[in-house]
Amino acid sequence: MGGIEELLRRRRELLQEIDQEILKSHTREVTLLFTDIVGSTRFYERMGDIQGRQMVQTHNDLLFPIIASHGGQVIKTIGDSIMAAFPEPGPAVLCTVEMQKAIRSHNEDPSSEHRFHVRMGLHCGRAVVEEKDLFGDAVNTAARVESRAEGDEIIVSAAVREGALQVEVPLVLLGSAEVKGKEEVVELYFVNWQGLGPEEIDRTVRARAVGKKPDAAPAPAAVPASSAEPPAPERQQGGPRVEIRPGPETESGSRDAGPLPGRGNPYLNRVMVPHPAMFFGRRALVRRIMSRVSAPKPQSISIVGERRIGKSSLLNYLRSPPARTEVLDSPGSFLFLLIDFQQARTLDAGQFFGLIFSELRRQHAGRIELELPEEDEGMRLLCEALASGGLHLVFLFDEFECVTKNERIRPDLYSFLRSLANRYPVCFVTASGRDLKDMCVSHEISDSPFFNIFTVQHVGLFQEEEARALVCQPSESRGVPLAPIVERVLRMGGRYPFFLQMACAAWFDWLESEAVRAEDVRDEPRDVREAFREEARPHFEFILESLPAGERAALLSRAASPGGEDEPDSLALERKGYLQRTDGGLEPFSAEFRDFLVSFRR
Amino acid sequence: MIDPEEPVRDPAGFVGQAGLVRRIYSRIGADRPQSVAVIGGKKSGKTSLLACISDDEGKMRALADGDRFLFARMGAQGETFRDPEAFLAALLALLPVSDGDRGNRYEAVRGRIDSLHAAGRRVIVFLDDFHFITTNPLFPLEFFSFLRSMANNYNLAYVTTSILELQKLCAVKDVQESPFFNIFTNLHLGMLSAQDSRALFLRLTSLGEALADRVTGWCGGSPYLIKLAAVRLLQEKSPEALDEERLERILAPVVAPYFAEVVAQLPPAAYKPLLAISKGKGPDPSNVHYLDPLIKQGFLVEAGEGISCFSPGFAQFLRQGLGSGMLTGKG
Repeated sequence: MGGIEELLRRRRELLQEIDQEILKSHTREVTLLFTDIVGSTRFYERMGDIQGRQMVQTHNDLLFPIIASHGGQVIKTIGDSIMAAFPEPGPAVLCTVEMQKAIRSHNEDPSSEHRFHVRMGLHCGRAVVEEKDLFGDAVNTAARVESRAEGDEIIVSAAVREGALQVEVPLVLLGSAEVKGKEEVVELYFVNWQGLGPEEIDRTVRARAVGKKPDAAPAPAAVPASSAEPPAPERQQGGPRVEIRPGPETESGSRDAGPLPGRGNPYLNRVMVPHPAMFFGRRALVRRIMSRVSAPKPQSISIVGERRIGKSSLLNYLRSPPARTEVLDSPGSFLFLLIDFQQARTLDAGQFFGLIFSELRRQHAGRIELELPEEDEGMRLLCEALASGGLHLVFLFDEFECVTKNERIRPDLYSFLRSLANRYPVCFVTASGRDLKDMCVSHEISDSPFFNIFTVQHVGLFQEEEARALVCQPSESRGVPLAPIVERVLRMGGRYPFFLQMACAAWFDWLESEAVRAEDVRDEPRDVREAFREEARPHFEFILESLPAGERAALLSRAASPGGEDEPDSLALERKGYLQRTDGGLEPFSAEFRDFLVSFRR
Repeated sequence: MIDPEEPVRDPAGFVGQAGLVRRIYSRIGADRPQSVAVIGGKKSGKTSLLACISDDEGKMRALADGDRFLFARMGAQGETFRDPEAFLAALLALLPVSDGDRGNRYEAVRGRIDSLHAAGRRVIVFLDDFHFITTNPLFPLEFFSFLRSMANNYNLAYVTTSILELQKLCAVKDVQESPFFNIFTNLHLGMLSAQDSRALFLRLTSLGEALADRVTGWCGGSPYLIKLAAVRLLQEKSPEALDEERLERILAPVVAPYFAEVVAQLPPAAYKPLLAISKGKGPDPSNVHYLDPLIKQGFLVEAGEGISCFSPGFAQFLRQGLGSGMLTGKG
């Protein structure tokens, strides 16, 4: 036994070890939900205890199953409040939205005996687990966050928002609020499940919940759209006006499919990938593009790739919260505007600007208000106002060849666009099937210096690990893992995202319908092959028919005998993704594609 | 009263194709509704299938959240497929009115779909005989770009029927080369299974099971032929007493016009390999591609390395028609 000093040192170490052990074994990361029925005390007073208890029972019967269906666990009820825990923030946010919708339906049902309104709050962090209860700072904070909400409202902390970026429910920054019992302020977000307009949120929720405008940036400036005048302190009536609110953006214009559901075949999508969580691969390309658009002098990029290679999905992903927050240092200072020109092939210059302004209003409804002439001057004033507000404008132009091929768009429009990129923090990311200069309606257009501002980025096959991730991750999340047969799936679909999805879909359908585990499959089932061929062959035929004669001959030749010289046609096919480089030289991107080409040759 | 020329409108009367129906619903009900192009020859049951799929009761049974789906059914009847204006007007009539339409008809449709999307609804547009649109030069590239843009940006998908792959039935080259067709998964409407063929015959005639097996075994799994056979046999006093020879003699002239129409789809170069198949001989591999349409429609069946006719009735028709030169005009 040592002296008293030694004993005290040892005591301190033991206490630290015990704390560590408690932290390790008795705490866990959770997302905590608190709910509370608004006005229940008055209800009890007015209707009596039995009716009041009956209302709480109706409320519990309605909400408990929804909590369970989102992987949550009711920890306890305290009077008419629920405390529940979820392993992840995303499902917790979705759960609160579904609960509010269920309450709304209940209240709208004429046969409902008791109507009620519930406030909800979410926060996440580590909590101490003791028997079936949870304790700690995170629990207290969650309760305080809930107290900031009113009936029918959901308010969440910034920690929840960070963990739920993949959930496409609009989260609107309210600002920072002091929370009782905590020294630090907590940044609060409003879950806009009812689709309230920005003014309504300002007027009601924000004013009450945080008592002020969001403080992440200076108060929204009413920037007069003229460089000659100083900023006016208040909104001006009439005349050109641009009003910009601080970021982060609420992504109101995103035409996503809503929350990412968790059932069925995840490989059936044949249109633009709407949900960032379902976007795979292209990480290096995304970083390259983002580093260029966020350069001190933003650089424009022309993304060139074959049909079905995933250009539209890439553009859509660039504006999503994960892409912006992962790569950009200050994502809130970038305004991304996605415009799909596929349906706008015959615009004139005026309609071109009209489309840009209407999409700006739609996609950034919560952030920007405009009263500008819809012409080049209005565009210039907008860029100037954005620059004054420290904002970078990134145009994402999908199917831009529809513009360059359009006879109604004159060369001066391209000169004007170039001048915007030269004078303001504005850049363009375009997607097209071929080099833009090769897709212009006239030499007058293709000779425009506008096209010199672009760096070309080709989009081709996935990298090996990206393709494997696409095969393995979504299938695993849906309970039909394809990982044990990843090689076979890759042989069928190759690293071409569109065809790889088809191969995954065919395998997934078959494994699910036959209730077979992938690891138990010995041969390639005929049904899988036929399902893939039925879907892929018309596209294979189209690829072959649409290639230039030289490339077509080279492709057929490589299918018959891989390897050989890397002549220009084969290299062009490699860039397009129809040939892949292997140890034996260039060959078709998948075994099924090769078989198709061989049979076609016969 | 059986009318073989009339599609089945009542889903309760639709028999078979359970696998195909399941696949279509799985695509409509995917995370993001997916577009499907159902391809089948004339009288293969496309319209009946579409009526069955687009039925509201079937929707509630087959889709987990059926009440979120809005089904809009459109066909080539009347003026609907005359031009984009008529088409969009017909589509608008099927979509709930939101807070007032703005702009032209394209914008009005977009506005209504936008409202439905925001309300969490999913829209499936069923387009029967869609080839009448793709082959109509009055429908420009912008129209198809608009349809694709709707599917790209909203929870909206199309289920079309056509006699061939849509891309092969385009009036305008730009349309044929447009990415519109990328959004579709092609599903071929084949023949009924033996069990479903038998069930259909029994439902139509209430005659004995033994006769059902003999008739459908000889005709094959074409619902149209089964209906033709049912109508003809119901005219017989004792159809169940007919011997094989008599039964075939009665049915052969009934099915012949349809088989002739089927063979007429093929180029003359296909007749020789077709005759070889009807005689149980393998065709010359270099000529097999001529037969692709009949393989896709289910009139010819690939088994291992060989190809055979889908029914003895079809083989007999080919042997007689092609062997005698009747079909080729050399008889």
